[in-house]
Amino acid sequence: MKLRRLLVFFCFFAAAFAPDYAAATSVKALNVVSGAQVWFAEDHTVPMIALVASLPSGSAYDPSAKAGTAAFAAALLDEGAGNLDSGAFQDALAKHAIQLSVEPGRDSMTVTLVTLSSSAKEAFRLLGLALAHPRFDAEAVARVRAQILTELEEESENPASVAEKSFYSLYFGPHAYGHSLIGDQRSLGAVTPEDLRGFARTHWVRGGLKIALAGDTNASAAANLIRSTFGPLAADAPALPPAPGRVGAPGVHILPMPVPQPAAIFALPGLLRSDPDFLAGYVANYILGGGSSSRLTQDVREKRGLTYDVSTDLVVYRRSGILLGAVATRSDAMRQTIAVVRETLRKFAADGPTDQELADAKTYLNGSFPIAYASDVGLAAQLNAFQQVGLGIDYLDKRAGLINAITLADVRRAARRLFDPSRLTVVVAGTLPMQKAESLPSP
Amino acid sequence: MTALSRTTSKIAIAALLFVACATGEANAEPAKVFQFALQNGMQVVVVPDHRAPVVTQMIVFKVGAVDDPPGISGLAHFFEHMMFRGTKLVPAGQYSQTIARNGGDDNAFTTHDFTAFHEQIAKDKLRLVMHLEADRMANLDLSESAVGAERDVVLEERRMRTDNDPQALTEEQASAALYLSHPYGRPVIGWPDEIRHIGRVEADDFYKRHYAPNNAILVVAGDTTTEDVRAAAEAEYGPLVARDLGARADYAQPVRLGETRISVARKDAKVPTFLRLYRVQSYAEAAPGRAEALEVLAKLLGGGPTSMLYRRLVVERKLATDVSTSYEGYARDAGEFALSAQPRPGVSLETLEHGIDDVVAPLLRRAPSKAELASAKNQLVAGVTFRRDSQFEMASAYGQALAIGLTVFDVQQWPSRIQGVSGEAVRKAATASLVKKESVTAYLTPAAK
Repeated sequence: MKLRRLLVFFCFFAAAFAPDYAAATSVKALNVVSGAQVWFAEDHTVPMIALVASLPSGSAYDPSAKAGTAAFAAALLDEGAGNLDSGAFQDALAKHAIQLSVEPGRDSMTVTLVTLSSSAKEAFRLLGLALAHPRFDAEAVARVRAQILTELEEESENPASVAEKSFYSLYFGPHAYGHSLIGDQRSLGAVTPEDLRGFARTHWVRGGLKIALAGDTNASAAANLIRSTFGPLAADAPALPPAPGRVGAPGVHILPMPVPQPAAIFALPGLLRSDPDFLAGYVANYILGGGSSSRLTQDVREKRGLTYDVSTDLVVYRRSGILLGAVATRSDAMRQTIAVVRETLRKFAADGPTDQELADAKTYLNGSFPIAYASDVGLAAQLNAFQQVGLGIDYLDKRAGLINAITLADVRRAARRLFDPSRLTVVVAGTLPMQKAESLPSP
Repeated sequence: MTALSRTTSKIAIAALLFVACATGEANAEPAKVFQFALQNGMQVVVVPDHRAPVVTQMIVFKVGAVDDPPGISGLAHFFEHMMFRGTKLVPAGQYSQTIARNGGDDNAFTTHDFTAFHEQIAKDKLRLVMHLEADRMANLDLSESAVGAERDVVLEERRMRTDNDPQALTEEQASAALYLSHPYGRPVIGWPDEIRHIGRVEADDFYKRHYAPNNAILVVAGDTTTEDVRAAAEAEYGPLVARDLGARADYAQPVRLGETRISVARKDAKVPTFLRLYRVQSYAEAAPGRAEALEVLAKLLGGGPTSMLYRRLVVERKLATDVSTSYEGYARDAGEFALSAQPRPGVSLETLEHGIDDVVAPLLRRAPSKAELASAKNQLVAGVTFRRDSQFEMASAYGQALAIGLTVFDVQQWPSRIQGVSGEAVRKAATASLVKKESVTAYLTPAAK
């Protein structure tokens, strides 16, 4: 299976709920599988069903020296289960036009199933089989290993991927969040079909399972589909990996690479989702680099034409948070671009946002939330993103009020805490023109 | 026929990887769609979907990279960017900010044949986004300094999408060779040295020639009604005056006398790639059923892990790590059938190419089996239902079809036309279309350091 790897930034983009635009669709919690959180939104507009489920099976659980095990197992999810070998399993999916995809993450593996409602029974049966009785046949394991090795080679061509991968390693060091999601050549070579089987048995489980379902079915039918698909999984959740100790590697790290446009990751320690300042930080990030008219977009792209895209996200992991930014520009403009980013951070931390910026952030974050309700796939993905960071279903109703209650002082406090340019870790993949001092002056 | 968008919107990017969009439903109730025109010639399509109080507006101008003047490739795409640079009423930077402040998302993209601008927002703000679009359709205020800064942004966009990516560069070379002198061979984003030639005068002239209500298609998808859209569109777009449009050059699609082969060796490439492009018929050119047969052919040959090429080359013969095919038929002139593959380490591109040809050749002699055909068609038709889940996909499907001269009815009938494709029609389409002299074959190999 081709892994869907939608950037690390996917975590927390859409958010906030506006009661004034309360969507027609309501979301219910279903109590059907013990250990699992299940949310369901009934909607009959299109004869289809979308399921997004995440399991405690991210790369943070990779056995040591076998980095990439979790993603390797995930990539084999549609490569045969029960009495169906790889070919038979794929034929069964195709025959019913069932779309099954998987996205490996650091904490979780996220599975997306999209099916016509007329094929729902077969779609859920196949997913249940894949999770509870994966085969990991030698042929499929060897083939998928070759595909992941090719993906590693492709990543090594792309400066944005090289910068991101090195960033995680520098920032988290030896912690389990630090290694590549898909491992490396050596670690992948060490993973056996038996390892994959063992990993799936202990991590594709119902403890810690989060499920969001939206579309053309009703609550009792949805409950039956969920029960038969996920009920047979083992109950025990694996122990959460430990929290990382010291994080960050302040300074500018350059990985020479002969490309026309070097890419940079810049990052600061972020916030856990449980942090009382999280939403204030979330608003601060929107103003800094989250929105289409953010300060960074204004300063780097619109005023100076230095880049096509600059953005930041407040990335949330179970045991850590990062304010993670990305930018790319031509070699001779990279140092200037980083200096502008630092200056934008410094100014925000010193002066805070304006009243207008705060008001605009609130109307965007609350006003745009109903957009998630306009599609089954989008809604299931949004609900699952909330589930993954440990929010309860009541959050859907509380969110707008929480955002509206954020004050200028809250955002100033969060900005002072987060936007410290002296702690900035910058990783550049690309070759920059020579400069006397290797590190950049802080403005 | 790459589509480029203005910003890397998290919402739009995934959806922009679309190739064939069409909608309607063969076996289920079709989406209800309404169409009318304003006095000034603007066409309007409404696709109601009431599940959430949200609408998507898309305006498609029938102007694209094909209309770039000689020596200034990339102007249509550049101009799409300039549309965000402000009017007297909504000054620079205020366009997207106003939409965001009102809880909306916006973006735009350009292809060879058309340019689309779109917003998604709460339904009670539809009038607002119409007001903003109407304003910038008539009153754009282009300053020299804004043109200069945006030119740098576009050069960075080109570095990111193309110059940094050996696969993308190889594709660009292959396209340039495939179409000979026809402008489909020029990249939508433009050649770097020609992007540098863009100035305020060229941009302003382009605006006056192409941006007018009689060159535009408005699609509104979401929680609204025809009556509401009609009233709002008449109030906001109705006052815009139709203009004489710059005539579109009628470019020849020169006869190709032989196949073209290109070898690209690059130090920045790590993974060898095989690519073959065929110049084939588009929906706009083809006799009824032919483009649909090419869709089925692309699905059967290389559309996913059950396809013939994947089974044979990746699973059975272990010659490739991946292989895929695509058909891009939504074009006013020629369409494109693409075949790409990556060899397993140790397998030469020559061996891989022979392996591919061994799978393609039998298709020219005999029709696919009933089961293969049924599976491919079912997947294509189900894809239509899945696209109905997205207002953006629905708006794009109608916008792009109308932009190349198809009708709402064509879009709605697509699933039943797909279901009507016979095995023999697939064989005939393959025989007529997968012709070597209509092709460019490119090898990308890593060069020694």
